[in-house]
Amino acid sequence: MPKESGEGRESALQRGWTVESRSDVNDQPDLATVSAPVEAQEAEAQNAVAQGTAAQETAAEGTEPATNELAESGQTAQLSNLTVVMLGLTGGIYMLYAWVWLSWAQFYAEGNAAAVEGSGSIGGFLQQIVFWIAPLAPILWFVSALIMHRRQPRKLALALILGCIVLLPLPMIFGNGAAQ
Amino acid sequence: MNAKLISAWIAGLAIVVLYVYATIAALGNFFGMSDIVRSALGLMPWTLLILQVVAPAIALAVALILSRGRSAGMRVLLLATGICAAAAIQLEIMHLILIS
Repeated sequence: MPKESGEGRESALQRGWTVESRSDVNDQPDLATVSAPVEAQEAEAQNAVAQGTAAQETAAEGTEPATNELAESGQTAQLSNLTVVMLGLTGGIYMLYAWVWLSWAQFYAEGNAAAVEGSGSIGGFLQQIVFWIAPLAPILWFVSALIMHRRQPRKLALALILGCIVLLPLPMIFGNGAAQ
Repeated sequence: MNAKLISAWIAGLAIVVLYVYATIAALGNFFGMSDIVRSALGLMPWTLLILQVVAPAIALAVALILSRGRSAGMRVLLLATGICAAAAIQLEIMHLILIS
């Protein structure tokens, strides 16, 4: 009987010990089940990016149900991984654009400030504003597209690609920029 | 609600003033540079100058069309995006003309 009670204590200790390990065990499978598909999807998305747009669409169709399952388990609806990759790529391009526009705005704003120094101040002031808001164009375009089409990845992709074309700093391609 | 609407209108009107100024400045560029451009060959500088004039109007129209039926804040954001894009295009055209 004492042995049994001792065993009972040990088992009680073990039970106390295993409460924590059980919580770990309960957590770990969830992490494993969540992270493994995410990694698989990321690999799939990267492969799709390497293979081209046709493969991208199939990967997007493949990842959408998986992300829906993730979204069901989580509280908020998540962006698909392909959308996140696309946002990263276009975000980098837009940041480059903003930097190029900023360098040109600086160049022309200085020139313009020297040119209109003697003339009317309102025109010069507004012109300075118009110069300096040009670098904001890629940033605001990105934010607007993201807010407007967050739920529709295809429209979001269309808006972002259109922005890449419209806001492309052409003189950068033709080279010989004055303010490079 | 009312204060938000009024502030959105004020912000929107301030942005529209920038649209108007961008158009006027581009018109000034158009007439000011026409003497210089006339001596240059080709149709390209004229096209660029006209594009510089109509860019704010096109941007304003697109922003207003896209912001139909949306919230006041979204309208202001789209108007701001439009004038920024128009300003970028004007800056780009000026750069193209000057380096060509």
